[in-house]
Amino acid sequence: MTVFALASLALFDVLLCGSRAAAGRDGRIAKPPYYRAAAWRSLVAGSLVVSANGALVGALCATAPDPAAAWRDLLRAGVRCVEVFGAFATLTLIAILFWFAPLRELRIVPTLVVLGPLTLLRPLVIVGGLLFAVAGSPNWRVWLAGIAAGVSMIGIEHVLGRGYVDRWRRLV
Amino acid sequence: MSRPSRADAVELSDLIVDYDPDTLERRDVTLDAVLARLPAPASARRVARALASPTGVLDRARVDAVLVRSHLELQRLHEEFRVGAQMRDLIAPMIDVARRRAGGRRVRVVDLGCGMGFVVRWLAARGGLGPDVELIGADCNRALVTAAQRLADEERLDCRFVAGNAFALREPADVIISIGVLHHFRGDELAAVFAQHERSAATGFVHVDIRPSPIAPIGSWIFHQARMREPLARFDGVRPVTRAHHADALCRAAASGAPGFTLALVDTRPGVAGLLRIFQSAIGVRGVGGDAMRQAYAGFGRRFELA
Repeated sequence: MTVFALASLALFDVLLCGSRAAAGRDGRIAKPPYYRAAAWRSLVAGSLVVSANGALVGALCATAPDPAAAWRDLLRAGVRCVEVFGAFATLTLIAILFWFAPLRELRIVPTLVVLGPLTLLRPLVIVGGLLFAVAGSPNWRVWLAGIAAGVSMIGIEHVLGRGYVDRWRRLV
Repeated sequence: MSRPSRADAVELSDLIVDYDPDTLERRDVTLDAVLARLPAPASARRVARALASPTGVLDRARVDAVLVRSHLELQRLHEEFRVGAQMRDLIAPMIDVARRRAGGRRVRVVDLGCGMGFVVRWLAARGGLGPDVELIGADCNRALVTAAQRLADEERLDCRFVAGNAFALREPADVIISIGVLHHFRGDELAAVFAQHERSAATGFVHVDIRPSPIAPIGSWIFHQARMREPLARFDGVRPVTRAHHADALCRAAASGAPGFTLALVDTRPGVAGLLRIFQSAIGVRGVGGDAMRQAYAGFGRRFELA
């Protein structure tokens, strides 16, 4: 359950990263196909990130002297990650629901609340959440998995953004 | 030497381009001239330095590139704040008035300082204003106008863009609109802009701009730090909230420059709703009394007030 929750949270985050990376790069008015493509691209990237982190965790467990104990340590850290990132994702999701509000003004809430301050907070939440998750563990494997997760999740937006940096050139 | 007030804080995009006021021919801008008028922070000065060629003159291609990228980011904000729909709601009653006066010809709506023409293109794509409404965007910056026209052509939108002064078009405007333009005009310049409306043949105008409020500066800073990638957009993005005109300044300038128009304001005092309504609008109609104007804008309820 924890693994599934973590993977879902990571995919959700990368999906939003992909939307942000694509936003502000295309000047057309009708952009649903553009954003659909961005969503697919980010889901693929998110799946790769999740798989890579999963493979790392698998390798860390497999090479541990006591794989079951290593898995327990990693799972304990995973539960803490779910607590922090789950709360952040819930907050984000609630704000996004305002996109479907009947009043136009209320639909601006996600822009003001999610896309602004929470975007600014995201790297801090990732680092803070991972520190909270691994802080109590003496197992270096847990720390390594945490660092890998942090680097990949923070770096993914930059990677996704690289696909859009030159779009403006067709306009000049 | 006195420190410039926050309201006098310049926008970098205003400094890095220059035009002959009569011919609108582009003029060279030197880095020294930009830095002389550009205060801290260092990040803004770095942006300016990155645009300079070895001769000390700003490289026009680099300037255009950074402006196009910044305007793409600005468009995202306008999309998220649903500025297009807001403008449609504001100009629809005005177009009804202009339509009656146009005598069967198309009503010409001209966007003053259109940039990459998001609002004009949005109105063409989704505004539903009718086939008898002609949408034109005007801006002094040829690069932005070219980008706007390319985007319009790509989506086959019924609108066009011209590099030039919105008040000096061969075919004059019936309705003049703008988004985020008024705060660029300081002091007497604001009244002078309204005076250009007075001299024009326009039936009316709708100018939408950011509304000054105590929380706007910090909100804007957070938002631009989080969302803007282009350093110029980050720097310039927070300037409008400190330069935005208060309602009384708009009224004074409009009354002195364009006395022939009946002036009204929308969302200058939104109360708690101001947390979500970050724009205010100045609306003027020529030859229509206050009562008729109030009736035309009845849908806005208490958001609408005659000046």
